[in-house]
Amino acid sequence: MKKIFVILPLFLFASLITSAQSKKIDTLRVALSKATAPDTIRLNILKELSSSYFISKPDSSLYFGQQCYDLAIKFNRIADQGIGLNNMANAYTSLGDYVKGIQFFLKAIRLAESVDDVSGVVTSYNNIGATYVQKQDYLKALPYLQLGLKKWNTYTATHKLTYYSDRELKSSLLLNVAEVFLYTHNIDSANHYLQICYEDSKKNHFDILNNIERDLGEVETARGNKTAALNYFRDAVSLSVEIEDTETISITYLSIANLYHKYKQQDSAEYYAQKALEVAGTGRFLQDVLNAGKVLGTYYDEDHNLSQAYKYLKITTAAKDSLFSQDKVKQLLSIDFDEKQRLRDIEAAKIQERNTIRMYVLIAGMAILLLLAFIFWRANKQRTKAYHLLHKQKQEIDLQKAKVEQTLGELRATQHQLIQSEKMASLGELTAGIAHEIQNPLNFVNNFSEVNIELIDEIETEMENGDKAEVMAILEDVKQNLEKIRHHGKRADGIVKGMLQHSRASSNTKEPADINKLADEYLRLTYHGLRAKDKSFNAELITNFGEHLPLINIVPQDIGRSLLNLFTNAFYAVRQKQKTAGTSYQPTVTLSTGIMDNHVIIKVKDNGNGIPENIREKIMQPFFTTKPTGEGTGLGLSLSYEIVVNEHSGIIDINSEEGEYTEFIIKLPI
Amino acid sequence: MHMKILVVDDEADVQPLFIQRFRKEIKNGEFDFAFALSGEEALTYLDKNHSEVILILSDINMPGMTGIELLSRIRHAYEKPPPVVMMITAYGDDENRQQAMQNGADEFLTKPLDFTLLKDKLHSFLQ
Repeated sequence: MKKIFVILPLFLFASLITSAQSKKIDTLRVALSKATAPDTIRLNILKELSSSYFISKPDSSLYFGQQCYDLAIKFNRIADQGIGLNNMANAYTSLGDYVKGIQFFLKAIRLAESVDDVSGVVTSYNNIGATYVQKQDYLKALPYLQLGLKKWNTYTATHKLTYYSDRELKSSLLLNVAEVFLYTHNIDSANHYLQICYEDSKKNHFDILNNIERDLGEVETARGNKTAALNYFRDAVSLSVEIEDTETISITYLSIANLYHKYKQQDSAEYYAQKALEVAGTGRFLQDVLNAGKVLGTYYDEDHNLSQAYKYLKITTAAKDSLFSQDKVKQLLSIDFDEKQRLRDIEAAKIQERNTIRMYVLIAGMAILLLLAFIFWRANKQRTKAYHLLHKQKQEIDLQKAKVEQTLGELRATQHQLIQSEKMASLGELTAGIAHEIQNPLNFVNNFSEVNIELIDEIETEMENGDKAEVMAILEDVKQNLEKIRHHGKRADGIVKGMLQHSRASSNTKEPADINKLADEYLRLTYHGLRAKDKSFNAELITNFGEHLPLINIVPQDIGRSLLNLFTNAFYAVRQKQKTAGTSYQPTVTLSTGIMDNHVIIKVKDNGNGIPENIREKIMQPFFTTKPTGEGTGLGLSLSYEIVVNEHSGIIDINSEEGEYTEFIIKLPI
Repeated sequence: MHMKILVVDDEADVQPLFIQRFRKEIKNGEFDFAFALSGEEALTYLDKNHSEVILILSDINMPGMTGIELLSRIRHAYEKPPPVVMMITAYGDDENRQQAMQNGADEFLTKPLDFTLLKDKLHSFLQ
């Protein structure tokens, strides 16, 4: 909806087309501080300030509008009173007090009618219509707008229009009518009216063009034309930026968010809803903050992202809070205004009654006193009611807060459990690989032992035969076999030690370790572990170990666990690609180590399907996984991140090209 | 004519093990062994010496080309005459056995190898 406020054209700054709005405001404020005498100069400045703040800061607009109105009454300037009233009305509706807003508009209409100011009347009709639209009371809005259009068409047929605001009035009326149709789902009717005022507004460079384009964007959204909708929305935003129409910027961002949401582009939807919220926040448009916050809460709820949903619950709660305390302020302001109005009425009555019988004066005075008492009593009652309502709502919010905090606590506990079972799962995977690894050396130990027994039998035979040469030859073989037995025995021993290290609770003490050995061991363990589970899986393993790497101080089982995660992910990636690629695809995982910039570098590269750009930032988040449910907890990389970055002050970098490869680089300080 | 048995396993120590276990047979000229450390090496050897190799003993779990893959390639490439192929593996479960047999293995043995049994099977296949 778009309201217009009446500007007296005689004043120097006649329009708000200029994008130097804030410069203008600064100039005006300086002038105000100098014009301290309550004269017409000060009145004009107040009027301009109130109008200028209309779009960006409704509470300032209200403040200056009130002063303007008070001063205008003193000088009996009807038109300026009308301006003050309209500005205050607009400010009230922006701040959410629709009742007060419409009251003031109606006041403005009566005033304009008394001096036959058709333009003023129609402007106020338009503003009332727009207010009802904002309040979503479309049935009430339409009659005012249609009446306004009828009156205006009659008037403009016989009068020439000079003032910018008058020329814009028709387009504004049409825009508001269009919005009524838009929000009651009559898309075609809405589009019909929009096209008319779109042409006019483009030709004349009316300010409301941004709103028109936004609504056209909504039409295209409803019609399913995504590109067209986005183009209109983008235009709307840039136009709004030019004229510093903060509220429309926020509303348009929210429209864009809903568009993306409609097309299931959740990330973009959330991004724009966030922007809507930020912008609304800076302009203190609490209703828009509330709307954006609600939408974001819904989106994060859909994502099952409880922590984010809770965050936005807090924000909307805060906005609601402010709205309610604002309510209190408005109540008090309105009491103040009413009081002043009453006092003026009394003044007027007294002057008129001065020449009449004292008895009438006394009766009139008493009646007024009674009225005063009644007003005060009513206001007090309303105030108490407001306090009670506020208190009740605060209680409700506290209750909700407690519930959410409890849920948060439960979530943390569950997260802890999951991390434990993740550790157990990775241990289980290793066990299979280790079992296989141990099988081979044990095999050799047994076999070579048996061979030696046979050989010793042969020796005994040859001894009897006296063939010393043959005996020596056989003894040589026996010795070599024992060497092999020792070698494989040690191998098995080393594997078991490694397994024990992994299962032992991390001592968190750092010790010097050989990265090449550690990485190689975990690579093979991971590979065999995966093969134990999926027998048709195979991949090429390439290792490029840097030479002369220094020993670095690390917690070996933790770094090992991190590497395990990287290897597992790499194998999973190539396995996935293998399922859909042709027979010429050779799954390859490459492990390289080296030194650079005082860090030891470990690179794990796979030629799988790569990581898409839009999830690259998310993969380190806990519980984020692209695997189907049940296949992965999504904790592996976030644990690795914890270990490398927090525990070892290292860095994890990621390079990837979608469809081609992914490379994880761990850098550990020496 | 040399009747070669090709043994495919990624563990290098398999070679001295076999040579010592089959000492007598090698001395008698009953068997002659060749060794490959991977499926790829095995195929390269077969390319050159196909006519000599009468039996192939292969491990299943190897990095790179698995034993099953090697088996299937042998079955597709060398059909006249088809060499005897026996699979050896640490994983003796039914699924592995079925997969091996489906791909055309003649026999399925588990580690640790029982060399007496192996010798019996070799004799029965080659006589």
